[in-house]
Amino acid sequence: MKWEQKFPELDLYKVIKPKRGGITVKGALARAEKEIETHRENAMSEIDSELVELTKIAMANEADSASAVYKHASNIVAVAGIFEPSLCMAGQSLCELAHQMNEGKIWDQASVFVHVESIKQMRENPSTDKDAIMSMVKGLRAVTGKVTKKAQTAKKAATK
Amino acid sequence: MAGLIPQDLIINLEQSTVLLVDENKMSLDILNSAFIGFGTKERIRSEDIEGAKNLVITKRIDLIVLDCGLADGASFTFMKWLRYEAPDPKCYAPVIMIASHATLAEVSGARDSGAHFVVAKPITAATLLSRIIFIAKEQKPFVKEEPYAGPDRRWHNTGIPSGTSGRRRDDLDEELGDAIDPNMSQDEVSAVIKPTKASL
Repeated sequence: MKWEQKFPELDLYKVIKPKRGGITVKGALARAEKEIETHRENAMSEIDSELVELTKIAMANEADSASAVYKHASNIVAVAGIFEPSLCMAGQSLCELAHQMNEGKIWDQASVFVHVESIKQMRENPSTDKDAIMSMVKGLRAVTGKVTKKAQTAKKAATK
Repeated sequence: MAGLIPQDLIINLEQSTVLLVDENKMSLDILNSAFIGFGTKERIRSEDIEGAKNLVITKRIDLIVLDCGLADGASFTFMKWLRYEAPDPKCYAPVIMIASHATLAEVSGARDSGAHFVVAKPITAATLLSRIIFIAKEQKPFVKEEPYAGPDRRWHNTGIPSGTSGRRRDDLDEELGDAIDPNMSQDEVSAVIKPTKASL
């Protein structure tokens, strides 16, 4: 098959060779980071609200709650994704856990709890050293890995 | 990748309009602020695909930043519409897709839907800006056929970026050393190039 190439002249191409005006990359990044910081307080309180909902779901211990867990976890990732890499990664681990539980039609209360409590810890102690936080994230991923295996086995058994 | 952008490079987004599409309002607010910092002229937002389609039709758009994870695969539906049905030249609009929970399916789906870049959260302002600069620098040609429409993904290896030492074990130095073996004779070269029948 012949793939014909087209060469559109897009205005975005001109941003790196401005005829006049402009700002350095360093300046633009400093400005952007300052603007983003103005949302920190609201973003953190939104994450806290999601954690309250997640705690309720985990406590209720109902087997068909994986989708609800996914929804709240993905809100944490959406908001934390540009502020707090560790919260974002922990949220992603919870998303994956919920996704796998959904796939395997299983529910693992303890794994959800450990994620929610760890994210709360990260929120309450944001200055904890980075290595310790990364170890927590690693641990959460290991928990999710374990549930993934369980979910895959359950899915195979269900399709037999 | 962000580290590769010269910090003193001058950029000007004062004439650019960016469309931000995300179902999460807070995430939209944060992205909007990043683009205020970059100095974009106008930032328009949509929390759903129908709104985004209308904006593409009615407004001038220079860049689209789209969340990968819109409900029911709506992000990919939008991309298909943009690349195949949106009016020319809007169908060529550069798109950066942001993956929140980056499953393999999500990332490969985003790539195959004709996005310029797929970035996985957590992201920084530097990551976003670096992708915009790469789009502007690379000026990738487009292809528009079935089953793919988007920036041409075919590439050839032109070596490591100038002035860097490469990241892979088999990356070669920018400077070539002297030959360590004698030149091949013409017969040897021909033997490599011309296929000959093998007698077994």
